[in-house]
Amino acid sequence: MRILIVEDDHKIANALKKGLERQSYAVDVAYDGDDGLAMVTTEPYDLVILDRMLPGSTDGIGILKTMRESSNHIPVLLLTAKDKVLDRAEGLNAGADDYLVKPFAFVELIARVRALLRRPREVIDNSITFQDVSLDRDNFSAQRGETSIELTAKEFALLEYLLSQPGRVITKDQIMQHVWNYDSDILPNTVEVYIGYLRNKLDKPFPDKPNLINTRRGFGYYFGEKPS
Amino acid sequence: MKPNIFHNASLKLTSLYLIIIMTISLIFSIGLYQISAHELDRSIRHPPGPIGQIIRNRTAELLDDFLQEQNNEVEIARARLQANLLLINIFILLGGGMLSYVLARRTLKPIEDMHEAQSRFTADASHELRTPIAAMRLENELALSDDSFTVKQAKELINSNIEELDKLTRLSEGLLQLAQLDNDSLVKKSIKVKAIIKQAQDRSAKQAATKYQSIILHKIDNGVINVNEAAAVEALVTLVDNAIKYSPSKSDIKIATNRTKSSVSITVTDKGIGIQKKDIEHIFDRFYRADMSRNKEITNGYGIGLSIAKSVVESHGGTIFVKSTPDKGSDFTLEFPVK
Repeated sequence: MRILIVEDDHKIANALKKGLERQSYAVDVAYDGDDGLAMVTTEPYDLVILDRMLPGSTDGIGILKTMRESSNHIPVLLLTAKDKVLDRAEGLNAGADDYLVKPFAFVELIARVRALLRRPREVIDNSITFQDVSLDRDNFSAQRGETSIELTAKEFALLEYLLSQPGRVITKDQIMQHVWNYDSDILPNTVEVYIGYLRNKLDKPFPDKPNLINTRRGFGYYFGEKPS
Repeated sequence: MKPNIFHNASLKLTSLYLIIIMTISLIFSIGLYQISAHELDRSIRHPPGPIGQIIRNRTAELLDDFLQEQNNEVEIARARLQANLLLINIFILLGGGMLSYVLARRTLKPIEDMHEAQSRFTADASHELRTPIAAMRLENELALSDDSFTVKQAKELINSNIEELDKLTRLSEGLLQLAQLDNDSLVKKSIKVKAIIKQAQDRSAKQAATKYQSIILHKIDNGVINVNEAAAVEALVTLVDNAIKYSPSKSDIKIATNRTKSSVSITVTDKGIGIQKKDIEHIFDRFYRADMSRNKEITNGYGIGLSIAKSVVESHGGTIFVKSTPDKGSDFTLEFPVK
């Protein structure tokens, strides 16, 4: 999953980036409103963490409104030092999905990020389940049936993304854009390699079970049953 | 959307003014009506003069018709008077109402502005305080959850924390100063201009040295001024520190003084990035954030240093002003009155 942080304090922005990357998210950072708006309109993010007070001609609320008015419904977590009830209401009404007041604990941010990234699918505690596969975010591990599978950070991120769109064909391009961040130099070949890794861990060891990671020639990959 | 207490207060005042105006107007109208009507009656129903008598004697039957017609005239005149008075009252109601509202709003505006400035200040101050705290928290939490944390990283973290703590210290001291200045109880004494400048120079010397800059004194006045020493030095240090911060390495910062019959001014000149025209009138506002996007390393915003300098000099009865050319440099002047 790919996250954009728009925050002008460099220390906070970089600490957030590092912390989120440790949770295997792909993260980009913008240090002012104008950059942030440019990035959110050109790159496909799954979540935006937006500071309310930003230098430049646009502030957090302004960016939010612009996004929502142009039908960009990416979940947004608003960060701010303003904690009055009216300020929270204003932020949420402008289109934010959640609101965190500084200073906050990292664990809380992570929990809220996870909550915002949940898509319509079966969710039990901190794991995502699809058919006989479940993903555990606390341990970065996966399980198929009764067998547990160990994954690297990137493999985990890739699997999570595939699981978020069960049955839908996802192109290599989409995978590159949602599982890696802006600065990563990856090629379509890299995606193939990682898909290969996942197959080795998820499909190969279970020959009597249906393949989960499937290829649609010329288009991309899909997870689970054949899409109609 | 926010309940605007000033709007409500204006409405209340307007209704009050209107009630007063209308009461006066109605009383006046009724009085006027009574008097006019009475006068009308009197003049019409007055016993006729000599000519009237002659007419009466000669035209007895016609007289009744005549008197009847006169009564009608009186009634019509009365009705017209009522209508006119009513119309005037309506105009007074509408006109007076609008005028009252406008005047009430105008009167309350300075209070409203101050109130808004106060809220903005609180919001900005809380942001400035919370940001370093949030930064420290995140960096420390991150460090604790890092299993491969090296000693080198630990030292970097500690330095970073100290940097943020310095920011907090400067900010809280600045806020305290502002609070004290608002109380307006500065103790002044006669002190040599040279002494103040020397103190500021000493305070900023180290910072200037790290950027290979020199603080040059130029034609410093030999006399004294009547000021609060600490406050005056603090204000001057702010100007010199800003000059250092916003000037390139190896450039010079000049401090000069000028004495006239009524004032003594101290000017700090730098050859730095200057200030944009649109920012000049705002830089003395508390927490004003000029667009510093050109140079992201410089901490954004002017903080409260300049607004403190302004408060200091103004509570002495003086002024602070600036002349600046973007990319060429700036002159900041503190002007203290001679007492």
